[in-house]
Amino acid sequence: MPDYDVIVIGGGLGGLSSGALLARQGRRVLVLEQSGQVGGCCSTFEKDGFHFDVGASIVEIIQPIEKVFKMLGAKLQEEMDLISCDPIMTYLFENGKRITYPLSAEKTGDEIRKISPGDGAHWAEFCAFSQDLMDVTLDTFFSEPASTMQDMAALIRKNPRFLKFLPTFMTSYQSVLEKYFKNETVLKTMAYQAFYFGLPPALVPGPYAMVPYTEHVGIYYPRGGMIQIPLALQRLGEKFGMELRLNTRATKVIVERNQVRGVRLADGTVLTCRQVVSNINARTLYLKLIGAEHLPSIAIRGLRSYDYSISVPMVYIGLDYEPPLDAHHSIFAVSPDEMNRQYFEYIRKGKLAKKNFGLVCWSTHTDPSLAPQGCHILNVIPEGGYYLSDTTWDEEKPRFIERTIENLSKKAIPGLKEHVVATDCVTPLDFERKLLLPEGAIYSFQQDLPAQAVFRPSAKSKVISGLYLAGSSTHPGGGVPTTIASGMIASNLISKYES
Amino acid sequence: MRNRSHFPWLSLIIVGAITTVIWWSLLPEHKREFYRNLVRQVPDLPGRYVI
Repeated sequence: MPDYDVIVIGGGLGGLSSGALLARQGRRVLVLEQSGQVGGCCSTFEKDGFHFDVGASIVEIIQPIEKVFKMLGAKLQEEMDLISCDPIMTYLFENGKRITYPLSAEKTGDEIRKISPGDGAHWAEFCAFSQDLMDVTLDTFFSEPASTMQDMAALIRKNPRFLKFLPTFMTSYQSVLEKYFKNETVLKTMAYQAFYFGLPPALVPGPYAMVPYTEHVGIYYPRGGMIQIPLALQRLGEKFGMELRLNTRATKVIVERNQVRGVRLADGTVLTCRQVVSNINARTLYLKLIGAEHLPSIAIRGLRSYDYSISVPMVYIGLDYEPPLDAHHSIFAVSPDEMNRQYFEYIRKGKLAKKNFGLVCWSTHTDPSLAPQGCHILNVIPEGGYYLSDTTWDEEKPRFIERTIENLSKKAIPGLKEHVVATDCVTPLDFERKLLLPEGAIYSFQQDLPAQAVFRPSAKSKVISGLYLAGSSTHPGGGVPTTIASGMIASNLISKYES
Repeated sequence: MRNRSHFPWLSLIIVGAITTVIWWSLLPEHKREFYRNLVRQVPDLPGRYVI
């Protein structure tokens, strides 16, 4: 009898949701996490009394998360205090102008009408399209496997209206937006959300253009920081007997005659199991932990062909005053074309952009308990990729923190730098070292059309029996709700094929 | 006779090529980037499908 039924490699959101759901099915589950805490990019760390979120800064489109918690016999809102963010976003323009969108889609329509009556008239139409798209895809694309043509046919059988949106996949985020909106200022308030998928508006598949609307369905922040989400999954999993080992790294997936047999740990221990769920990068899994000798050459070519997703440098700032901002999130407003230019001409070429663009997350606006009394936190995500053409991130890091604070002081929050009492930074290189994300790729592989659904590594391995994938490497891709959904898909597949 | 029977096909190919060139030249840059990115990865798709 093997040591465990299922071993899950990686205690990120996908690993924890699959582990907890499999434990709920009565399986003996072990989750291995190489670091000292769960959550990966969706976690929180403490420095000088400030609790900074590592990466993810909010959660939206919570329906897949609610579904997973329901399958675990729990209610999401009872497991954590999810605070609704309202207003949802402030856009900072170069000329000093600010536009803030409230949570209400109707009131946001009023704001858009003030900027451009024509675009304001199209806002309701855009909302109706996005709501319809969200209803259909949440029920199909974001909650079911999509690894084979049969899976795709099953999605269409489940909800034939999915067919209506297939052509949208053949177009880009920018094309969908520009179909509804013409005014440059309005477009500047909807372009940045493309980066939630790690790509510029020209390359993100069209259906994700629903995000500037879905934000108005609800944006939430868990009291106590983003780590509350993985902690709740851990708690529920452990209730059903899921075992979690922190600071334990898997170095090998043992495969015999194309069948998973177990996992070897860094200290040499071998643990046997019936199935493995991998929540790590799929290229690392197949080429390093399993080994090319177990794979057909065409699969090796396929794995090597993926572009890693974008990485980001995160700058964490502790302040001794309340910054003059208006919302949980603020964004330096840039047009879709300018975002494309920054991506192709700077990030891809390893240059740091001279112009400001990026996201500022004021987490203590929503949850003051994250900082000492009277103090506040800004988590800043400025521009920047993994490769730097004329320096390294280790060299650049102190200058980068300084420059980010200087830019914020000059262009968005005058006087900010006099109030900075704590700083830290996680660079793309740090993401690679600490979270073992190759090239610091926070979404694993690029999430463009040729790396979606049937062309993303399959949730049920097509080459190794007993191997399942969760996390951002597999369908439906990176992001808080999607990685949690990937864990649900993996556990459903194990339930179907490995009873 | 042989040359004449090829004529309709040749015309279609030429018209198709000209239409494609005109269509491409009228596309905004972001749409060109979308299609360039797609076409660049087409040879990778069989390998991606089997994994």
